[in-house]
Amino acid sequence: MGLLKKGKEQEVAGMIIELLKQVHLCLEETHKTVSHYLKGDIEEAKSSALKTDHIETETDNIRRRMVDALYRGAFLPIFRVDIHNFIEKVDLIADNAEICCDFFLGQRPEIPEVFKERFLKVIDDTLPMSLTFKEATENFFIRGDHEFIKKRITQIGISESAIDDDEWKLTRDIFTSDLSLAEKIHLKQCLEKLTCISDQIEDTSDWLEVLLISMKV
Amino acid sequence: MGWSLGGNDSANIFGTGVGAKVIRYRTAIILISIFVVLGALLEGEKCFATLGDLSRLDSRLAFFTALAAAIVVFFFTFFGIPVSTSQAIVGAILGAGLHSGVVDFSKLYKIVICWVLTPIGGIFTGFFLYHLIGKLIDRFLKSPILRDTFIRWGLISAGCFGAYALGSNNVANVTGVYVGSGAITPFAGTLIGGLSIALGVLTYSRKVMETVGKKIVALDGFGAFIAELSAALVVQIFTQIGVPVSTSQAIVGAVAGVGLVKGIRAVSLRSLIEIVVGWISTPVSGGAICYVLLTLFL
Repeated sequence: MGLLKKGKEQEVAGMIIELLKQVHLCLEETHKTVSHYLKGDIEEAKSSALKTDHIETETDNIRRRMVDALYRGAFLPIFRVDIHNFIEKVDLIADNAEICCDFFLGQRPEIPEVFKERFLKVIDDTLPMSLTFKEATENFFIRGDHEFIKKRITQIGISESAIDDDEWKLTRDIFTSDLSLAEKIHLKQCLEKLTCISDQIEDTSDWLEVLLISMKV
Repeated sequence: MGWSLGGNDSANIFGTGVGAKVIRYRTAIILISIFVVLGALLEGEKCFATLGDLSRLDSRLAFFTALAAAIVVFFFTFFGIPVSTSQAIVGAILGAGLHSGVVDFSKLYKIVICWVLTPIGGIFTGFFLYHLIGKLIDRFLKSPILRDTFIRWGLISAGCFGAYALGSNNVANVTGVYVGSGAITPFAGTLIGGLSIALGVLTYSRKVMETVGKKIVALDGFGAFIAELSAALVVQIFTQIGVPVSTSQAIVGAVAGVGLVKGIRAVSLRSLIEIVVGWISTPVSGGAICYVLLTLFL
């Protein structure tokens, strides 16, 4: 009779964990892409970018399956909409990672030696944010330890602020350098593609906090 | 009478659950039908005495009384005015009693007090249970999956309890006058009444249930569960006292109580005014129609 949609919630939670795993893998490949690119190893960068593209496709598939499971009756409707919004935002992290790889390999920005380490640092600092976000979200759906999750969300906020600070300083240094205006603007665009990923992680962790609050009676 | 009662009042039981897609309409009406009949058979007799004490009716008077109440319920429903079968039947009995000169108004005060206490009881129970169960959930059910499962089961269990309470409390509205007149036995009264309510639930409840589900959309799943549970508790308490009350007014009160906790106006002022007006207009209409019918045909 379908009295209870038993198991659908667990199915969605399982897919969210799989989605988080894929999103983190996507960021690891993005990190490799940027790293190889900055070292001048374009072939390896292409190979990693291709993997990023495949993983991003997989995250899209998982997202579609999750949305389907949600609207087949997993979770109560009021919570279902919040979870759907959250899933879309998680998927956007992988989308931004793919866009970043596309930018590097499609537009081949020329990054001066003096800035390379600082560009790499942005993506270096983004990876731990993704891991922290993954831990917080997994905990939310499996254990629901609110204190643990809040600490992780705060940690993500602090990391993002640090990246914002680095971005601001790097932008200033780019625009006060002797590069041509076209190069400056191109580098700024490149930096924005990198920082978009950490921005999206923070934005999504804010949504996790919304889920946490909306759950309270 | 039982058919229209089942068609209208089933929405008070699973309207929120069906609206929230927690339970399918078909499953909901099957569950309501089962629990309505169970409630009628196991505890339905408790409210027969109260209606019987209002007046002594023979079989003919009983028929016209039930007919008058059914006409009131039909026309009020037809014009979209909320109506309580309990208030319609009590009014009709009083009308019949006035016509035959045998009416005991001293029994009326208990019934009227219970009518007034129904929505008020709903408000207080909803308010109290929301705080109590809410605190327990926040403390012990932290995972969204556990919480969601609890609310789903809660909504379904409260719905079954509500159906049981509807059957136990309102079956007297359907067959109470026939039992009082001696036309049928109390057991036959609960069986026929329960089955006729179940028939109304199975054949005529979809539209009202979907409308009510959307009306109470201001509540989340937990709020809907508390409202359903509170209304069922209040109605069941009045069954133990032996007074048929309005399940609609119980649910409106319970929704208002939950709304008070959440700081939202979950029930419009109009709904509350309609309840107060209904306390007078429904029994007066029932009484007047019954009096006119008896004057014309007897």
